[in-house]
Amino acid sequence: MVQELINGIVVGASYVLLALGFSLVYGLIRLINFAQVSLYTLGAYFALAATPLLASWFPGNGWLALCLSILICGLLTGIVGVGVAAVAWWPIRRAPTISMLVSSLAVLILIEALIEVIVSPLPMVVTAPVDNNIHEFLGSHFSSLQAVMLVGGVVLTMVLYQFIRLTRFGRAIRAVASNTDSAIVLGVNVQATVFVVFGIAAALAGVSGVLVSTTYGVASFTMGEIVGLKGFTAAVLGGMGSLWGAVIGGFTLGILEAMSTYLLPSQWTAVVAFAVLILVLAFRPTGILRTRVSERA
Amino acid sequence: MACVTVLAAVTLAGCSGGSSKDFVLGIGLPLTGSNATYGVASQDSEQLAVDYINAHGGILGRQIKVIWWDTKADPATGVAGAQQFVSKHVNAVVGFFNSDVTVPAIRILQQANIPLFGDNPSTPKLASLHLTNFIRLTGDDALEGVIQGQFAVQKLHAKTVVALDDQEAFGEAFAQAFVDEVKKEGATVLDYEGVDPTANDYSAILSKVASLKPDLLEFSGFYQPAGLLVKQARQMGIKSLYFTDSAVYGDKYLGIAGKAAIGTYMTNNPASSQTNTPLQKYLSDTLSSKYQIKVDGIDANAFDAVIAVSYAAQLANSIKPADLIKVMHDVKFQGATGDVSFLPDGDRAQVDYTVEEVTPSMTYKTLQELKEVL
Repeated sequence: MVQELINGIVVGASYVLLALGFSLVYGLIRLINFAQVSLYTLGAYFALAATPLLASWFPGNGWLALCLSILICGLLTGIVGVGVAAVAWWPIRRAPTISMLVSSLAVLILIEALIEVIVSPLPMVVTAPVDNNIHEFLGSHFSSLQAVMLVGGVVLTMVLYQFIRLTRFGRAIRAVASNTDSAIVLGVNVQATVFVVFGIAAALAGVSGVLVSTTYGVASFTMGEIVGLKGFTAAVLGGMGSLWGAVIGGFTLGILEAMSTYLLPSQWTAVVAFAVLILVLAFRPTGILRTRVSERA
Repeated sequence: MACVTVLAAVTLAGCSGGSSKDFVLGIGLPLTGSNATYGVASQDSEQLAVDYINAHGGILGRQIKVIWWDTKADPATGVAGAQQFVSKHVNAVVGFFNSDVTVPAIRILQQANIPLFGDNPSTPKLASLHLTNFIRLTGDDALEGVIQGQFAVQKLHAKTVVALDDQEAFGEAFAQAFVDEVKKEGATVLDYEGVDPTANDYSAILSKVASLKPDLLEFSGFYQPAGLLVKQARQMGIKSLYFTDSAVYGDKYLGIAGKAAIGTYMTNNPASSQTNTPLQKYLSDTLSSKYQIKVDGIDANAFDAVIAVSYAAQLANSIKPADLIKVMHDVKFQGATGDVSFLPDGDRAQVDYTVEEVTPSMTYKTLQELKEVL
């Protein structure tokens, strides 16, 4: 049972990072930004190029190369995220929500198609710059890179939380999320705030893509589709717009999947996970937590 | 010999044809998406076959003009492709690699009376449909699964097994046949489940496998989940023998699985590495020089599917689709996959299999060649 918990928590960490991105953007402008899914994939492909290069620059220091790769690829994906906001959201910001939703879906398909055409339609092998050793914990096993995935997810969540809680920019985000008109009166630059939030959400997705592709050793241009859907589900499960909801939703979904695979034939995994989602939403339509970004202290 | 035969066939055909009109061949393959590896490799081989035939005078004097269709391994897109082929009045169709795609697409072609020369669609369901417009170069999943099951018990001495499949037509049919056969052989099936072929993390299902401690873990599906499964299994300390299928064979599997691939087994269909015919040599040499890849069973099936079209046209002395259908089951030749002939249900009369093992130097070693006579 400990092994199943570990499995679920590790997988859940990748859902958490995506769910945080969905929740951040939704909390700010009520948009479900499906472009997140392709930015997850883009992060993995940035790593495909950056990690070997960094490993060659720092021979014998694979961990440094990996950490730098995570940082650089997260930053690059974040910049692309700002670009997505500028091109696909800002020009239609006053359009109906459905138009923005379609725009974000168009970005998803466009980025995937570009990767397919420019890089390859075939799955790519991702080589980790470090030895992926196996560790034992209470009779269960996990790999070094799985530990990095979990620690990375937790650290990024904490940094994001403190950023929103303590910094001037975090207060601006909360102000816009709470009431855009009031935020403008208070002198908050709404455009810049939204652009930066798109960038942060994209960076989180990109880092998740780097971590997953490095841990499991493979990247494909469609790799974000299923995990992206799970990340979105985690955000809804936890409470769309709530940061802690995204965390709870992500880990809950990961553990649910792992437990159901252990207890039932694995064909039932998706059935169990989504049946629980429907049940939760039936009794708590706003998800497990009801708080939103604006209510963060 | 086969080169000469094909040359003679197409040259004679060329004399009797004489028209400037093309022979229009529709080819449907997964050129993008999850199965693009196979689709692109098949496309290379099929293009080589087209080039070969055209260089030798074409089909009944007509050059082959190919209409390619990317199925994306999606049944609906495959059906759209079949409709496109019908509207373009193709003379014949080759494809569609995936069984899931072929089954609905062939209905469209059947209604339009257009022959389908199957390259690698291997589900047993196709033979049971009693289609008059269908032959295929690949073997039947169920039969490959039987051979795999026998080898697992008789040669690898597995007494307990866990079987996993990718929940797609190919994997399910293969794994079911494997499970039935190992039971018949007296082994115990501890668990048989489907897994998500698009997943990255298989630790949940592998935890269950670890607790069952089977002698052998079998996976039926394609190379990406096959590689990830064995890699993660070894990381989790699962020491069970690992046996997988012909769709996994190739360098991509080795790349994803890494060192975990060493000592794993797979069936290969057909025994392209064992075949020694002029067409096999042409295919192998050209693939190697032009694309720097080694020929495998999937490539060879794809190549021979196009060659079979030219033989059918020669036999019918016609390029009309209805005439090709009348004779397609009687086609016989020595191709890149060895001796090719067909049964009335469209299956090949004989398919050769090998069992391969991955060596410590990350190459494939043929353990046994298995002849299956249907």
